[in-house]
Amino acid sequence: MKAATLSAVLIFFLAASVSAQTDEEKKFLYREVPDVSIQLLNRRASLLAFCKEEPTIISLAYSRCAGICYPFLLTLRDNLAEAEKEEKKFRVLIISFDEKDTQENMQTMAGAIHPQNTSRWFFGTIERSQIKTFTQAVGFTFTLDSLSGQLNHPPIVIGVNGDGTIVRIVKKFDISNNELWQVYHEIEDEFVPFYKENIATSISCFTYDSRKGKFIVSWGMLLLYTPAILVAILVWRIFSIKKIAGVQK
Amino acid sequence: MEQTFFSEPIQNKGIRNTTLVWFSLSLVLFLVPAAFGFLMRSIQGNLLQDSHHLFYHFLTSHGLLMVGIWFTSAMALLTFSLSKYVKPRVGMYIVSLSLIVVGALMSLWAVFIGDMATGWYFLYPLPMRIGTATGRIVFLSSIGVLGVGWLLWSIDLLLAIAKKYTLPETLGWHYIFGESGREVPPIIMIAVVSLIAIIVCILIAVILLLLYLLEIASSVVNDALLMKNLVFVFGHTVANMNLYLVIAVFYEYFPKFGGGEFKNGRMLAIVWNSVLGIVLFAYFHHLYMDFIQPTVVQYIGQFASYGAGVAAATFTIFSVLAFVSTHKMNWNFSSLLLFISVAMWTIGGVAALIDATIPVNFKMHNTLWVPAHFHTYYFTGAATMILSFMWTIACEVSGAGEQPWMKKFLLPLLLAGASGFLLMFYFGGLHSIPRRYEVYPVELSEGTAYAKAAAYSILLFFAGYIVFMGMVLKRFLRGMKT
Ligand code: HEM
Ligand SMILES: [Cu+2]
Repeated sequence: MKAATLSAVLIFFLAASVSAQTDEEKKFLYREVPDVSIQLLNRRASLLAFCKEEPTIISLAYSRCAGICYPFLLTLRDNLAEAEKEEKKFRVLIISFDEKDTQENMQTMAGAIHPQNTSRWFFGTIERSQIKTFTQAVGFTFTLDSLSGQLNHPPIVIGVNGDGTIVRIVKKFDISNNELWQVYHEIEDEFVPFYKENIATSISCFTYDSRKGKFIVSWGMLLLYTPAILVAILVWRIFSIKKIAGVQK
Repeated sequence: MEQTFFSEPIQNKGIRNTTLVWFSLSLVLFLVPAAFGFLMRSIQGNLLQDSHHLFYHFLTSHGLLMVGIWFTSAMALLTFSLSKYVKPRVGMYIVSLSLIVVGALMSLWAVFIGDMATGWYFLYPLPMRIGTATGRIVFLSSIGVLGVGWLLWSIDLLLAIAKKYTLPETLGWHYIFGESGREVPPIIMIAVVSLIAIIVCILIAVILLLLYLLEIASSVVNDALLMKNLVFVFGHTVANMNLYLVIAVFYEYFPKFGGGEFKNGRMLAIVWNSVLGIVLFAYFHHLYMDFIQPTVVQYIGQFASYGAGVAAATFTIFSVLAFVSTHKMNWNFSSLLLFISVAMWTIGGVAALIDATIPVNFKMHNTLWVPAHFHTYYFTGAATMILSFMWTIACEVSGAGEQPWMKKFLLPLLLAGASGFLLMFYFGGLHSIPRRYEVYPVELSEGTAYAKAAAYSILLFFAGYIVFMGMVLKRFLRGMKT
């Protein structure tokens, strides 16, 4: 019985410790965004210069996507609406990594996404020859499906601060509000403790809810204090042995 | 000899000879990490140019061996002294000591051949980043082997005590609640408190080692903060308990130099029960700089550090001062050295509390103040207490007394050497010289000068120590034959 409980606990810990966050993403942090040229609705600019104007959240998408792009951008739009209520100053830039995209396509896409605050959302394309430069700089990979002509790719959100430095990269479809909150606070150079989110990479003593600034006690605490409890039991067992005859009053 | 303190333990041949063998071994073994200490100060003082690349190997091995040796000697002294009241098993005693010797040799191999120069508490993720693959395994296993040795030993001592006393008795609860009951000597109570804490520490070390093995064997990445918490509950508390093990023996024997005894009582029982309650929380003061630890934990650390330190140390020092001023003390080499080491224990304790105060820690963290305070209570405190007891035991087993020059010349020589060495650490701390620096940059050139002065002081200490060691060994050898 004891052994069963113990192994259940152990299995739980092992399962909880399977890595969810990737070191991969950290490799691309704290570097300037590459200086590629982008084409926006009525402006041609260098991406770096654009980002240095104001903190920017960049996402990559392409207009004829039949996969995740539209649902992803729609969710992003809704989740960022909350930040816009907080009167955050960042801009959102959606750029295409599809060579076939044109400015018109991207404006159609903008119409479909239809963000509330149109003046802060930008849709555009990158200079064709520089697409690779950009995607490589942020660790974004995609492949062409030769049958459907679609591009297989992950969702991505890149947080760039007002210096043009990449400070966060999140690559997953269901970005939690917490993670997004961290992105738009950090790009405005607010101090956001870079600690684990609710999804732990391994056993830890507590997790940190950065939105509420709250600590949540977690399984690792047990590791710190179960030994004390085990020893209490052990010591109690030790002292319940038979006393040598005569010494016990 | 005028009086014999250890006559009962000396009668028990098995325990006596095992203790004497370990004591002899430890006196010689001590020279190894002590030499590493000297070499470190010489490197820092620019007296040695060629062995710079070995600084961190010396640092790691020095810390591990010192803590290992003195912890083991404290356990041995306790076992020996306790055998007056209870019967520890000689077999288990020998098994534990053998495991410990194996563990110590493994650690030497791991550090110097396996390149595991991680610092003695092998803070995560250092062991995953430096050293060879075999070195890593041997290093972690050596900690495991040491742990098993200490664990078996602690359990055996508790078993021996449990055969005679009940748990509430040993914890002195009848004193606290004012009930009548059998008299329990302080040595039993303090030993039980310390042994319980030690077993907790060892179990925590097991978890720590398992997490390391998990990371080595799979792709799991450990949580750095959890690992740091684990290593410090273990490392801090084990080092702390090392002192308490000696204090247990001190309570039993120091008053005998004045022909009296420290009786157990309500205050003493309250103090040691509260030590048991808070000692596992004091280690948080090692994590003041980890801003990610919840703030409340930092405050707990602050108060627990004060609590654990102040209670035990202040109570002890006041008892000692009160005792000494009301009794006619026989001030020989042992009792003088014991008195000085209690003073050092207190000075080191006060220096520790200063550093465990959060605003001060912001300034002092990781400066030479840290080795300054822990060498004061560990080296000139706990280790020196053990040395004084060794001397008393050596005289009693051999029947040979002490020469007058020992008190007049040897003692001052040892003291001058040791305090010169310590003072240089304190000066360094006051000038913000960082600890664990192999060479000091020009901006910190005072550090180099202090290190040089320390190296010469250490030589002075060595001169005295070699004489002392020779005299003790000669007496031990004679004692083992009878
Ligand atoms: C002859 C006596 C001793 C000498 C010369 C000596 C010297 C040193 C030196 C130079 C350092 C490195 C300081 C730095 O960080 O720059 C050190 C660290 C240390 N010493 Fe000693 N020491 C002595 C005795 C002891 C004793 C008796 C103990 C414990 C029982 C001890 C435990 C330690 C520990 C734990 C460290 C820290 C190692 C680390 O940072 O990883 N030392 N010692
Ligand atoms: Cu898509």
